[in-house]
Amino acid sequence: MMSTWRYSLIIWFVASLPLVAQTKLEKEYRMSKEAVPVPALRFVDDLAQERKVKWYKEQGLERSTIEAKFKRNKRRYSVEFNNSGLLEDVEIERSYRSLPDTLKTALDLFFEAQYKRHRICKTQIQYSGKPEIVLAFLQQSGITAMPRVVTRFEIVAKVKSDKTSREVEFLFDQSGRLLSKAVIIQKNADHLEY
Amino acid sequence: MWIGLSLVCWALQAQNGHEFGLMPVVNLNKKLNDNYKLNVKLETRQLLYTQDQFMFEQELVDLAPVVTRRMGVNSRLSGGFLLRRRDRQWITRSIQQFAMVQNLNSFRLGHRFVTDQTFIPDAAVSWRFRYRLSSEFPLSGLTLDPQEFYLKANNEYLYEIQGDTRDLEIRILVFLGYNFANKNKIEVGFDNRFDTFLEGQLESISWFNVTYYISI
Repeated sequence: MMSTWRYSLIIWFVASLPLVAQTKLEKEYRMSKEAVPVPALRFVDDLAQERKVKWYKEQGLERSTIEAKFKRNKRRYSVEFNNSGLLEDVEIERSYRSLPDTLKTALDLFFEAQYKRHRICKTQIQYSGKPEIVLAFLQQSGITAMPRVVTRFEIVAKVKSDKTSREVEFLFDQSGRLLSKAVIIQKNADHLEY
Repeated sequence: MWIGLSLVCWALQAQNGHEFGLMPVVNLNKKLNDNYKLNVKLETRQLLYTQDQFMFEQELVDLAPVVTRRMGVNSRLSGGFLLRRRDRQWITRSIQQFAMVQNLNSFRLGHRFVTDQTFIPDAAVSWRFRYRLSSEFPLSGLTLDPQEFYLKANNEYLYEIQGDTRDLEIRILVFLGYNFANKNKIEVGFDNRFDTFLEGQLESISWFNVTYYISI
C-alpha cells in the first residue's frame, strides 16, 4: 500500500503542472480614457455628462471594439465603437414589461411558438445610425422614435426546446420580427460548483 | 457573508488555539456528453502547526468522484462518494449536491447545496447539510476571460448531526485564481474553518490551499 506521503507528493506535483505556456484567445479588458479615440470620447462625454464612465476593449480574433459603460437616468448604457471611434450602437437596459404592448405581444407569440419554456433574462433597446443623429435623439426626453435612427431590441432569454436548455441572445426589429439569434456559450464554472 | 464574518469574529475571541496546514487539490473534470460530466477531486492535507508547536504531519488523503447532470442552463445535480485515508483507516462518504451559477453584471455567484453521509468505522454515521456561497470577481474587465486573474471568495455553513451531537462549522475562503486559455484554472489562497460552534470549545484551522482545476 502506497503511503499517504507518496499520494501527497503526487498531488503537489500535479497541482503545479499548469505553469506552462498557453495560446492567446479573445478577451475583454479595461482601458484608460486617454487611450480612447477622440470621436468616441466626445460622443460619450456629451451623452454621459460627467457621469462615471468605464471603458473596455474587446479583443476578438479578427476585430476589436471599444465599449463605454455608464448609468444615466438610473439606466445602464453600453455604447460600442469600432477601433477608430466610430459609433456602432447604443444599448440601454430596460425592463421587458416597459416595452410597447404590441411588441411584447409579438415577442410572447414568438417565444411560445418556438420553445416549450422561456424566461427573459435581459432586455436592451439598441439604437444605431449617424452619431450626431443618435446623440440628438438620446438627449431629447419623451421621444420614442426618430427617422434615421435604427431601433432594435436585444433580448437574452433562457429557452427550453425538447430536452435542451440554452441561453440565447435574440435581436428583433420594432415589429417583433427576428433578425438574428446566437446561443450564449456558458463560461466554465467548475471552480464555483465544486 | 456578513453573518459568517460576525460569527467568526465573535468566535475568535473565545477560541481554543489555532491550527495551520497545507492543502493541495487537483480537481479533474471530464465532459461525458451534453448533459453529464465526471468530476474527480484528489486532495491531501499536511498539518504544520497545532497546539502551539510546529510539526509536519500528514493528515489525510481524499479521492472523490462525482457524476454531475445538467438540469438547466446554469444548474447542476450531482451524486458521488468520497474515499478517505486517515489514521490508517478507510472512511467513506456519500455525496448529493445541487449547484447553480448566477451571471451578474461584473461578477458571478455560485450557490451550492450539499448533503453528505460519512461512514467511519466504529462510529455513528455523520450527516451534514451544507450551503456555500461563492463569488468570482474578474480582475480585468467585466467577465473572466482566458489568461486573466480573478478573486474568489467562499462562505460555507455546515450543520452536522452525528449520534446525539450537533455541530456548526463555518468556512471562509479567499483565493487568487488564474484562468488559462484552455479553461484550466489554478487557485491559491486560504481555507479558514471554524467549528464546534454549538457544543464544546471552538476550534479553528487555516489551510494554505493550491487547487488546480483541469478540464479534459
